[in-house]
Amino acid sequence: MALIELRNIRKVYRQGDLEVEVLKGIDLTVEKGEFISIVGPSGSGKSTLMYILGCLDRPTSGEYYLDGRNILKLPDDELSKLRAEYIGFVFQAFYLIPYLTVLDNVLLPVEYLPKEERKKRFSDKPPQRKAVELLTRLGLGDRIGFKPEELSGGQKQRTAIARALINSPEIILADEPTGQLDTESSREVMRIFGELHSEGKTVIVVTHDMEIAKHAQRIVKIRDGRIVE
Amino acid sequence: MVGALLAYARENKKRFLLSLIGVSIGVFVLTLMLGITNAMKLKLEKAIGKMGSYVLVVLPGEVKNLGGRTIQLSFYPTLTLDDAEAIKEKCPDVSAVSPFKKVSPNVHYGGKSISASVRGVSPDYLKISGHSLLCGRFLTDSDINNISEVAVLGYNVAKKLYGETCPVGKTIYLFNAPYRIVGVMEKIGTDLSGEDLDDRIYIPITSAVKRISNVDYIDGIYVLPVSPEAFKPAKEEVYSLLLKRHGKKDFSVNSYADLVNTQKQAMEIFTKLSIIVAVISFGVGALGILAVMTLSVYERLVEIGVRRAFGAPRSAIFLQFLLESALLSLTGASAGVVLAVLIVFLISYLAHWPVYLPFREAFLSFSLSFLIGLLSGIYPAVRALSFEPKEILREE
Repeated sequence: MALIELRNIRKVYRQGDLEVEVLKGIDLTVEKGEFISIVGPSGSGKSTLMYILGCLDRPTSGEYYLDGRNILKLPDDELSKLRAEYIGFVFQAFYLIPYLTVLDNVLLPVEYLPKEERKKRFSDKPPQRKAVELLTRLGLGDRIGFKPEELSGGQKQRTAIARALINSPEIILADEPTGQLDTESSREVMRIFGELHSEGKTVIVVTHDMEIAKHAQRIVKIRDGRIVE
Repeated sequence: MVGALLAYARENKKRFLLSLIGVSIGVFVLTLMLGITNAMKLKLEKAIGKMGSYVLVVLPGEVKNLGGRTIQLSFYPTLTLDDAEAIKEKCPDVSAVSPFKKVSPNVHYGGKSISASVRGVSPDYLKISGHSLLCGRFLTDSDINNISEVAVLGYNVAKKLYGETCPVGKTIYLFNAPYRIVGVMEKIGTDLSGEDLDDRIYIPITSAVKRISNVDYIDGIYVLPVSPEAFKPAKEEVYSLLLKRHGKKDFSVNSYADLVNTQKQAMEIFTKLSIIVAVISFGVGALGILAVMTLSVYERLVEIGVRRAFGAPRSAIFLQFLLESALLSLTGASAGVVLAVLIVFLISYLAHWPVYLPFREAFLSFSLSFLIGLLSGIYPAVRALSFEPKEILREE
C-alpha cells in the first residue's frame, strides 16, 4: 500500500445555512519517497487538502490511509501522535516562536514524539546535537543562539525546515513555503526539498506558483475542489 | 516547556511582575501573620508550660475578661495565709500551695537603690512555677515559720548587683531591713503580662505579710492539683472549702491557663483578620495571573498552533498553560515568603521571643499559591484549547 492514499475525499464547510463544498471528491496516492507538488489558485481547496493530508483536519467523507492506517477512525490524540511521528510541517509564514532561540525552535517538536519513537530516533545522537547538525547543514550553524527576528526570511524558513526534520518524519508537508521569500531564497528552499527527496523523504509542497511546483517530480493540479490532472 | 514561559516572560517583564504582586503580598501577609501569631503562641505556651497548664489561681475578687485582658473587678481583704494552709491540709486533690503577695519596698544594696519587684511566696512556689535555681537554695518551711529575713534573687537582680559571682550569704536591704541572700533563680524571661520574672526578689510570704506590709491578707494563692486530671476536682474542693470558710463568694478560683487564654483570643482575632487580608491579596493575585495568562494565550496562538501541528495533544497544551500559571504564582510567592520569614525572625529576635522561623507557614503559603496558580490557570488553559491549529495556522 502507498504511504498516502486518499479516496473520494469530500469536505463541506457550513456557514450558517450555507453549505460550501470545498473538496468534491479527491483521489490521490503518494508513494513513499515521492516529491509532489499540489498546485492551484487560491480558493481551489488546496489549503483544505493540505490540512487533511497533515491530519490537522478531518474530511466530511471519504477515506484516508496513512501508512496503511485509516485515520478517520482515530481519536484526536492518536492523530496528534501520527503528526508527531510522520509529518514535518513547513509554513508560508514560518511560524517560528519569536521568544525562543533558533535552536529551541528546532527542538520544539521533540517533546511531542512518543517516548519509544524518541528513543529509537535519537538513539545515535541526542536531539540537541542533531538540531545543531541540521542547522549547520542548512547554513545556520552561526545562528543557533539567535532569535527569529534577527534572521532573514530565507534563514527563517531554513530554521523552520530544520524544525520539520528534527523528528525524522517520513513526510515533509510544506504550505506555500516560498510565499514570503525572494527568488534566490525560494530557489534555495526548493533545492533543499530536492535534496531531502533524493535522501528518500516524501516531500509534498502545496503552492499556487507553477514555477515552484515545477521543482517537484510530479505535479497535481487542483481546481474548484477537484484534481484536474 | 518551562523554557518557553521564561523566554516569553523575559519579553514581557513589567506585565509579569505586576501580575505577581498580588500573590507576593498574599503570601507575605499570610506567612508573616501566621508566623507572628505562632511565634507568640510558642511564647505563651512556653510561659504556661513552665507554670503548668493546670495550675489554679485563687484571687480575692471577681475576674472578668474584657477586650482580651484579664481584669480583677473587685478586691476583698479577706484571703489569708490560713486559707492557703487550709487548702493544703483539706483538699485531697491538691499537691502544692503557695500564697503570694506583692510588696514594694525600697530595695537597697551598698547604698544604691535598685528597682525590683518583691514577692512573698512559700517554698511550694518553686514546684508550682516549674522554675529552678542557679545557685543556693529556695525558701524553706523554716524560713516561713520563723518569718526569716532571707531572699532569693531573680537572675537580673543578682547579675546587676553581683555580676557572675553567686551572692549567697550577702545582704540586701528591704525598707532598711537586712535580708540575707540564700539563692538565685535561673534565667526565666518575661511572663504573660510582660513582667520580667528575672527582676523579682522572692521572700518568705510571712515576711511579706507580717514584717513588710503588716496586714493579714494576701494577693492570691497558687494551687497545683496532683495531676492534670485532678484539675476539676481540685478546683471544686478549693471553691467549696473557701466558700465554707468565708461564708460568701468574695473570691474566684481561676485556671492560670484561662487567665492566659484571653491573650490567645485576642490573637485569634488578629489571625482571622490577617487571613482575610491574605485571601483578598490571593484573590487579586489569582485575577492578575488569570489576566496575564489569558493575554499570553492570545499572544502565543502561533506557539499553540505549531505545538499542536507538531503533535502536541490537547492535554499537553492544557497542562503547559496550567503549570505556567502555577509557576508564575510560585515565583510571586517566593518573594513574599523570603521577606516574611526574615521579618518574623527579626521580630521574634527583637521581642526576645523564642526564636521562630516560620517554615511551616512558608510551606503552607507556597502550597496555597501553587494551588491558586493552578486554579487561575484553568481558564487560560481551556482558552488555549479552544483554538484549532487549522484556524491558527491559516495562510493569507
